[in-house]
Amino acid sequence: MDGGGPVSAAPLVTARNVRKSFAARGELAGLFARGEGAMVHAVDDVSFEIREGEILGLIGESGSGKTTLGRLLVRLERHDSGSLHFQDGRDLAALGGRALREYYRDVQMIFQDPYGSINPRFTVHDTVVEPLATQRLGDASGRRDRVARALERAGLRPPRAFADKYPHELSGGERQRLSIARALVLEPKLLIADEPVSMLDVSIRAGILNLLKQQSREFGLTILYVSHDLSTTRYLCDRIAIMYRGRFVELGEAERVIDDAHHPYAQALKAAIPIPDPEFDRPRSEAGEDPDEAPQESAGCRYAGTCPKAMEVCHRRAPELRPVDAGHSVACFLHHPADAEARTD
Amino acid sequence: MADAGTPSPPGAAAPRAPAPPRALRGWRRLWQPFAGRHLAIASLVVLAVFVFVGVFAPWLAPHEPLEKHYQDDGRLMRLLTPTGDFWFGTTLYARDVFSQVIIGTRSALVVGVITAAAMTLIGLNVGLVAGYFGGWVDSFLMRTTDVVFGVPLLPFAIVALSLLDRSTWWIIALMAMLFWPITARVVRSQVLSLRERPFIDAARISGAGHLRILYRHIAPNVMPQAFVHGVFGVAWAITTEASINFLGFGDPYTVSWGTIIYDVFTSMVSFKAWWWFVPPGLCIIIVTTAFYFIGQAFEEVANPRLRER
Amino acid sequence: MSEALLEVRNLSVGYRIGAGTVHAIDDVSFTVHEGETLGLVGESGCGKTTAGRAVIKVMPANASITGGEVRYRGRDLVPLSNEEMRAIRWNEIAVIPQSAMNALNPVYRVGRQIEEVIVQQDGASPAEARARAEELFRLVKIDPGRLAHYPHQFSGGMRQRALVAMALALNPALLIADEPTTALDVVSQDRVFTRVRALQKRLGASMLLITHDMGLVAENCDRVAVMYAGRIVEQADTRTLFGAPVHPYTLGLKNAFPSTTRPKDEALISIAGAPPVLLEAPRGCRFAPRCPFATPRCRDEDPALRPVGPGHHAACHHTALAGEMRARAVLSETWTAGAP
Repeated sequence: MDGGGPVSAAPLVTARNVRKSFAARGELAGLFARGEGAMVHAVDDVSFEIREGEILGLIGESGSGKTTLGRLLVRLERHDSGSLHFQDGRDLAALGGRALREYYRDVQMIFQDPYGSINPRFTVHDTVVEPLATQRLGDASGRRDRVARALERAGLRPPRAFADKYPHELSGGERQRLSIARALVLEPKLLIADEPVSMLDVSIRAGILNLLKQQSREFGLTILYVSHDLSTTRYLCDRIAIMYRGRFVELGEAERVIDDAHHPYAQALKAAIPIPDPEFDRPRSEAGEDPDEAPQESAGCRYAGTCPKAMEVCHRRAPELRPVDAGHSVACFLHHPADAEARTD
Repeated sequence: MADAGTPSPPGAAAPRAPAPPRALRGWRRLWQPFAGRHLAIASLVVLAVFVFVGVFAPWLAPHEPLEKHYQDDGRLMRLLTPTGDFWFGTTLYARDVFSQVIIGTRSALVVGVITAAAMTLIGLNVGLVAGYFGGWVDSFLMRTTDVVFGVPLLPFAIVALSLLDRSTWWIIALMAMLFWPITARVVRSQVLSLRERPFIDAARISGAGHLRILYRHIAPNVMPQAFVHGVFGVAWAITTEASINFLGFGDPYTVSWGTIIYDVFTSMVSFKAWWWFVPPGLCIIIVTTAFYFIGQAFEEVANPRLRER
Repeated sequence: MSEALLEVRNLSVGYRIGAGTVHAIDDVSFTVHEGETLGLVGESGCGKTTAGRAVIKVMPANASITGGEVRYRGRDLVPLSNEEMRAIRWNEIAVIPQSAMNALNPVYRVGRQIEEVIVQQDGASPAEARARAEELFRLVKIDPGRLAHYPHQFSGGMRQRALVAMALALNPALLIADEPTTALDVVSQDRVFTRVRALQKRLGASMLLITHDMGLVAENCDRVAVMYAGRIVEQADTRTLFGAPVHPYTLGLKNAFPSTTRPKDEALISIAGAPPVLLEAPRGCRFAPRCPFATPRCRDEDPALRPVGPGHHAACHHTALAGEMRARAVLSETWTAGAP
């Protein structure tokens, strides 16, 4: 199922056939539809592992379910079916009360919006000490030390100069670092980073990316990096998963997935990125259907309606994510012709 | 901006308003609403005078407010025009109007502040709980709010007070019971938007429970609005209390601006003795207006939509 | 070089905010020639959007042009009345805005909104307008039957394409595209922009492309002006700007941008600090506080935009050392050492 390759350590997170759907909330649908209504499968039968110490990239467009998947891992949402387990066998579905609170010592998250993710009434110190207070960890001086260390680690140096500042006194980049410090103060094993640089200016993005990279290299922090952007993901991540409408379509080592994309959607995604080099002549495909205009639901591959290479079978059955290579899996009948022929129902 | 998948640099359309160079803390933060607002500053000065008078009322009042004054020949000093001894003259019952107004200041402020505090406390909690938990809790609390909001204040207070004993405390309790829906609605609508902000998610994954999220993370963000309505509440409470007393449903043994005017009215000499009713009437107008202007100044700071307008 | 279509000279725009004025753009000059695409790049708050809006004088109520000229075909637009400007918008200069959701009125059918523009601006009959709108939809690859739909029935990419159709309704000579595809997903972005380019070529229109996306600039612009803190800091043809930039800010931006074609292990640099708040004109070079190459002179003396090569201008005191700066700018240590 998974991206293959030698599995050196026990995975930190194991997800099996995870599903999560929401009641559809269109602008008008919400007005007229009462009760039952259509369901949107935000995450649809996804299985994967997050390996200890790696940076796993999760790429997808808006509505692909990538953010929902991240939120499932921190239990801001609950999955409908399938299983989600943490390293030591903890079942996310069963966590509650004290166990859930303690889970957050191991798993933390940073958010996209550097403005909305920090309480405007909290100082920098208040913000970072809060997780220690809710977790009832340490005494006052111990907490002060841990806060200082977290700020230092997130690149807010010297910590004393920042401790009493309010968020509105910080730049966007500094706020994102504050967010990271708040997550790191509990010394978690896993960090979910949901589009942490997409709202930042280009000139400061690299600072945050490099900081995340450093946390992984120096402290062995495992990171799930959720993004719509192939370039930053390729720069940061060891492995990459590409999501399309709730499903994984490709998963593997970062350079493999980007430079040698197999799935037609992954190829289209890569081909669509403008290259910041005037000497580079990017091949352009003539405009077809917008992917968001293809019909929503089908029993087959979610991409079949848009895919230029779609075959008859693609509309009938959904392909499974299976290895094409060591460390590289794809969910596409083009690359698994045997699957396409097997058990025609 | 809600779109998770696309980079949209904040403030790309127009330059962001420059952040204040330093955080406003302590007194500077409290002063911020008044900077450059002359009416608000004047109101603050006026209020300071009234608070001073209220605090030191027993020492400032030259006479006992209910003491009857007699002339040397034993006759009552009824309806004296203002003199050196009695600055605001005397009442039909030969009492010193000036002393009554001074003592009434204290009761007006006490009634106003306690009522406002109680209404804020109730409204804040109802709004927080309703907005945060939503669902049936919200429906129940908001329907209750609507019902209370619809109760006409004076008729209700009059009926209630004629059944209860006529103490100032009952007046305060009744007003607080009827004023809180305004605060509750304002707070709830703010909580509805605050609870969707990512910093609440961040609090949740720090392990915070509902109470901590409500009172540590959300409440400080709605306090300014609740405070603004509390300041307005002081003004409403003072006028309402005066009205109840004027209508004769207050405690007959306390001296307040409302009871002074009630006395004037029931003595049937109101058109003659201007010195008797003008001072308490002016006090009510001045103090409530001052609270309104101060409330407005705070509102402009608390509510960004009113700024720069 | 072909004739100048739009010449912006020493343009300044201020926003009144509270007691002060934010000088969003300050003494900005650029030219768009017939048929060419000029890229205006920079980060949020650098003034690029303000510059684009000042050209057609569609600005927020608290903004005003405080100096300079906007010459369109030799005629200064700054002193023109609203009435006169209305004749120029759509017919001569059209805008493709950033957010299609806000630009289209949700209560009217999309077709009606486009036809209205054609009728009002061109004096065409409703039937002519209808035919024109259908043709435009075919050009942007939307089924003309969709004209009868409301904006919410369109996908994001289609709405943006409808706006492109609307902007092109009257064959304008100049298109101002302000982050025209930022609100879209990557694949739609590319498709919409490919359409825009094809139509621009076909109409022979010029374009002012305002964006923060260096990739979009590299692929689509003939020349580029880089803005920082309300000023143009460097201006050159696209190849020169990417191949041999001289301003330290451009050097930084270039090395801050990840790309799928870059070697994965090449470190990205990040420029420490943040742009200044433009409440008062800063002393010296505006980039000096973040610049690793800044000298005392940079902090004292404001560098003017001076020629450094054919068609290449930069506002930096140290353009003579450009080669050395370029070599050092690639290293991330350059940008971290000593910076605050």
